[in-house]
Parts: sequence; C-alpha cells; structure tokens
Amino acid sequence: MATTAMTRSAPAETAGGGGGGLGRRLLTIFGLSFLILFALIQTVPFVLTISNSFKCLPGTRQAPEAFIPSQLNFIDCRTASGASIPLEDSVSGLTFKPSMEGYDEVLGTYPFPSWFANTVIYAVFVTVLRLAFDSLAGYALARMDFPGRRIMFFVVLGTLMIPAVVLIIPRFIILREIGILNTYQGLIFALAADAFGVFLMKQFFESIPTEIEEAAQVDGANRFTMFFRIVLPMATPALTALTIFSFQGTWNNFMDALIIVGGKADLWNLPLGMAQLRGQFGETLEWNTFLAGAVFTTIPMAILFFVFQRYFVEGVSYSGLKG
Amino acid sequence: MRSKTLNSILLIVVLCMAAFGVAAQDQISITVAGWSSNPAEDAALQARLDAFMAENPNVSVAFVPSSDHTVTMQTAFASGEYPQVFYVDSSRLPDWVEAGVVAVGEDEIENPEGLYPDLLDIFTLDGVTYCPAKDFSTMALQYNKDLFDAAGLEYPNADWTWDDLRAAAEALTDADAGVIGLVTPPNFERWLPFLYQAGGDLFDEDGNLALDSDAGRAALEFYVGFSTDGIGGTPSSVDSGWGGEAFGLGRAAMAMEGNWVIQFLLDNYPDLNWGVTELPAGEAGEATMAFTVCYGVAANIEGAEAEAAWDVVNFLTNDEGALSVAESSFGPMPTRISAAEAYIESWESRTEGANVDAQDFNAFIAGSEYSHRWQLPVGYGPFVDAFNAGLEQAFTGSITVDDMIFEVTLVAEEIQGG
Repeated sequence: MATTAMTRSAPAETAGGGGGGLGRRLLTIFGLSFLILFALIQTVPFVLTISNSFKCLPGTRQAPEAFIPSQLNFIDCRTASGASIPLEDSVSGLTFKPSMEGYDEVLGTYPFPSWFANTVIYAVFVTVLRLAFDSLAGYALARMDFPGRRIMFFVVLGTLMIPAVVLIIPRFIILREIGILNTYQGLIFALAADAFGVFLMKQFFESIPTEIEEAAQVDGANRFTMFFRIVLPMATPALTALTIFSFQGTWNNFMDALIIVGGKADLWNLPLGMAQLRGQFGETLEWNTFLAGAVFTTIPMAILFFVFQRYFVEGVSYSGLKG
Repeated sequence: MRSKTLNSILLIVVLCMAAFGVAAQDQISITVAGWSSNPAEDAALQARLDAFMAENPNVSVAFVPSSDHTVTMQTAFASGEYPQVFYVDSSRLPDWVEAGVVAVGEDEIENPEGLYPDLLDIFTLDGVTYCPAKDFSTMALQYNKDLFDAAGLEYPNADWTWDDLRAAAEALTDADAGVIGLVTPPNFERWLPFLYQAGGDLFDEDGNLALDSDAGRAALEFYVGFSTDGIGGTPSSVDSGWGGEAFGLGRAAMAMEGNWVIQFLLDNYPDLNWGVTELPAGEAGEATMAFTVCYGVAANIEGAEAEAAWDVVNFLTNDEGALSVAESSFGPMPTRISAAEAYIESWESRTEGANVDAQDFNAFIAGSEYSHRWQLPVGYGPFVDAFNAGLEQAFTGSITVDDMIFEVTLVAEEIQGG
C-alpha cells in the first residue's frame, strides 16, 4: 500500500517544477519520513515474527530483538540429552543462528497440515456461498420491487447492529437442534451468508445505471440473463472486495469455529490450532513453535492480498457509462 | 419330529454363537478430553493409551486435547453429548458435580490408599469421592543463586520463616538494576499459603468467609508489604508475563511457583543458576497449595462403557500409571507415594549439565505433606475476581488491607445470600 501512495505522490512532486522552494521540499521530506516511520511500525512486528520463529527457545525469551541471521545452515537447539543449549551459543548482539526447531515442532508434533486443510475448506466454501447468496440478495433488494422489500432490507441491515457475541448461544442451540454441531457443514452453513455482504452488493448494484439493464430488456433479456450476463460481470470490484473480506474473515475466524467445531479436534481450523499451541495456561508457551505456526497462518493471506491488490487499485476507477 | 427339535436346538446354538460373536467384536470407543501442556507429555500419554489398547483389544481410546478445556467441556455438557473421560480441575469439581456430569468413583478407584491422602481429599465432596488425580503440583520457593551470591546471602532453606523471606527480599532488591527481591503475583491462590501459614482459614464452621481475622490481616499485610515497601512486586512491574518469566530473566531474585516452572526454566533459561526449597513457615507452621486435576468419568454412561472408562482411568492412575507420569513428566508430580523417587531420578538424568540440582525438587514433594486444596464453593468466581482486583489496588497503596477485606467480604456475603 505504501508503495502505491509513494508512486502517486511522485508525479505531483515533479509537476511542481521548481516553483515550490524550501517549504515545499521540507513538506516532502516530512511526508516521506512519516511514511517511512509508518511503514516501519507496520513491518517490524512481521520481521520479528519471522526471525523469532527461526530461533531457539532461550533466544526468543531473552533476546527477542535479534533479527539478523548470522549463517545459513541450521543449528540444533538441544544437546544430545535434550537440554537447551545456552543463549550465547545461538544469539550474539542483534544476530542469531537460525534453527528449524519451531517448524519441526509445528509440522511434526501437531496436526498442523490438517488444520491448514480445514481452514482452506472453510474459507473456500464460505466465500463461494457468500458470493452467490449475497449478490443474489443484494440484486433483489436493489432492483426488484416486491412487497416488504424495505422492511426486509432493514431487517438485514438490523442484524449488522447486533453484536456478534449475542448471537453465539442462539446459533449454538439452533445448530445443535438441527444436529450439525461438530461437522464441516455446520460451520459453513452458519457463515454462508452475511448481512454485510448483502449490504455491500446492494449498494454497488444501485450505483450501476439502470439504462444498461433497460437496454438489455429491450433486447429480450430476462432477469436472470441480465443479472448473470450483464450486472454481475460489471460488479467485479465489489465481488473482489467481498471475496477478500469473506476469505480473510473465515480464515481468521476463531469464535464461530470454537463454538461450532471446537468439540472435534480433527475439524479444527488454524486459529483454533494456534490457540492449542498457546497451551492451556499460556504461560509456558514455546514461542518459536507458536510463531512458526503464525508464519504458516499468515503466508496464504499475504499471497491473497498481493494477488488481489491490483484489483483494489483498479476497482477505484470503474464505470459503466461515459458521462 | 426329531429332526425338527434338533434343528431348533441347532438354530438356538447358532444364534447364541452369533450373539456372542457380535458381543466379542463389540468395540467400545472412549474419548479422553483434556488439554495439552506440552508435546512430550502428550506423547507419553498417547504411549500409555496405546499400551492400554494392546491389553484391551475391544476398547479404542483417543485423547482429544482442547485449547480451552473449560469452555469446550461446558459446551459439550450443554449439548448433552460429552466425552466419557475428561480432566476435572480441582477448582471446577464443585460446579461440575452440581451439574451432575461427574460419576461417583468411590468403589471404582484402584488402590485409593496408595494416593496421597490430600489428593484423594481434594476430589472428595461431602464425603463422596469422585475421581483419582492425574498428577499434581505444589508451590515452592525458587531462588536465583547468582543473585544470592552477589548479595552475599545464605541460600533459602526449609527452615525459613516469614522474617527470613522478607529480609532476603530487602537485601536482594536492586532498583537501579531493575531487580526485585520476590515476585508476588496478584492472584488469590498465590496468597492462600500465607493465610494457612498464619493459622487462618478461608471459611469458618458455618461456611462464612473468615478473612476478617488476625491471621487473614497478617497474611495480607505481609504479602502486600512486598509491593508497598518496594522489595517485591507483580510480574508486570518488571515487564514480565508471569512469575516464572520474571525469575528466568533475573528480574526477580525469588519466585513462588509450582512444578510447571521446572521445564519452562530449563527450556528457556538454560544459563540460569537456580535452586528450589520449601515455602517459608508462618506462625502456625508450614502450608502450600496443591494444584491438581483428576480424570473424571462421565455420569451419563453405564454398563460396559462405564466399565471401560474406569479401566482406562485406573490404567492411567494406578502404580504403573504413576510411574509413567514420573518418567515422562515435564513438571507435575505422580500422585502415588510409590513413584516419588522415580520422579526425582528421572529429573536427575534430565538435568545433567543444567544449573539446578534435581534433589531440590524434593521440596515440591515435601509440600504434599501440608498442602491445601485449590477449591472454592460453587459460584465463587466473582469473589476471586474481586480479591485479585483488590490485591492490585492494595499493591499500589490505593486501598488499605482493611478496605480490601471489607470489600471482598461483602462480595462473599452477596454470593452466599444469593
């Protein structure tokens, strides 16, 4: 994000063409340093996460700030008898000798791959279902005139005003009565449509001029053709935004997963698994293992963001009609 | 005629055999729900369960750890379908017994005499014993030998009194270096040993809160004094998450933690030069806390299933089970006296080259002689919260010990009245 902001401000700077003088230059320097500072604040925790995931336990506790790997081959954190090696054998100043202990632990001791697979399953299904339901509902609320439309819209909007915490127990009871607690479909079903998505899609569809659909109607298109062939392709920016929100939201969903599939360990997703890495009392937490898990949990989200970043920027300048 | 009779007899025999065959192949599956303390311990438990399944081919047992056991179990209880065996923390027992989910273990526990009497006692309510303890931890005093050497002080020993502890904390505090003498977490259960050491008790005979007593006041004054006099403090006062971390980083010269601190210090602070001894004695002698969980059996199962569940529990907690805890423990102690030596021996071999003497861990075992249960009557959650909040305020000097006792007594009365 920071890079796009910088490249955009660059032309503005050159356009000034020397007429700016000292004050203007100071302003630029100030702005730049502000951006750099902000970028640091954003990236330092991430750098420390990665570096500490490659450390031995004493290093994570006693020298968390060391972030420069001093060699490329990995060391063993434990002696033959299983004791931790002393701190000075793995950390000196800001440099540390990397080890794979955390990653070995995460992949070897815990069912991490299955948590990962579950998280992908939940995120993909929920996202696909949300795209379908939210866009259909949003289109109906935006374009079709049926009795009770306004009331229905306010009911949907009203659910946004209710704190999510309030819904936990009723949702649990409903799922229990249906008998799909501790199943994949239980979690997917409960998250398959959301008011925020319906609202987002409705607002977007309303911003599309009706002339396009009227023209299509003249050509003999029915509602469904109009929706699927004309309106939906134009809604790519909104669908992209919704995809990212749902995917990320489901990927990081802890509370619903805990309530709905918490009772069955082989259905856990990554956030539940990460909580398991934290341990029951959270005090004797093994930082390198925990952060190795955090790195694995973050990577797919980071990839998703970098892939879709283009669409974010492009989506700002969409338009259906000229003038 | 004859052939008919013969046929029917044959038929009955065949049917009986079929029924027996089905019964013999009838698999019982048992789920053990708990939490994971560390991978090594999980592996040891799994090995033990595998051994059980090898001996009992008709029973399959699975250990299912949870990240938040209490919440997971409450959810399962609410859904009416819960695991056949589950960890019951001593502090949860009254609530869960009241909810009717824990089966009575009176006649089911194997060789109850071999368990530490205190531990059997902890899981006994109104004269009814529910479950055998899985393992246990007691609080003891950890001290940083390097800091003691630098201050030229004698190491703590089992004969220490309150005055010794205070004097040492005073001598060890070094404000410039950011070192406090003793780390005093603002937690009710950490303070309780001092109440018992002072000869006090939590409740009187009528079940009313008895903190408003000389012993209660003395114990609170003593504990709060470390903070208000600047010779001790909370873990967060020295930028640490908990007592073990403050001690490991050398920011607290002494800490009062349980067995869980052993593996933590060995793993994370291998350079630390430390020792363990028993908690100091108060006016009324010695006291410490026992923190423990038991293997509860579900109250909603019966017949062969219940039998299998008890078999699993006894397999894990009998003499052999206790030995396996001793050999694989990352901290907590086996619950049978018979395994105490094996526990220390296993630490001997695992602390070779480390800066701690495994013989010191006898201090934790000694604590079992005078330990008190960590257990409150049903509904006392708010009282603990109020007490902890009060401690924090008393540490900063914003309220007096008397104010604090007055406030928590009000909360307790409300709970009892409600």
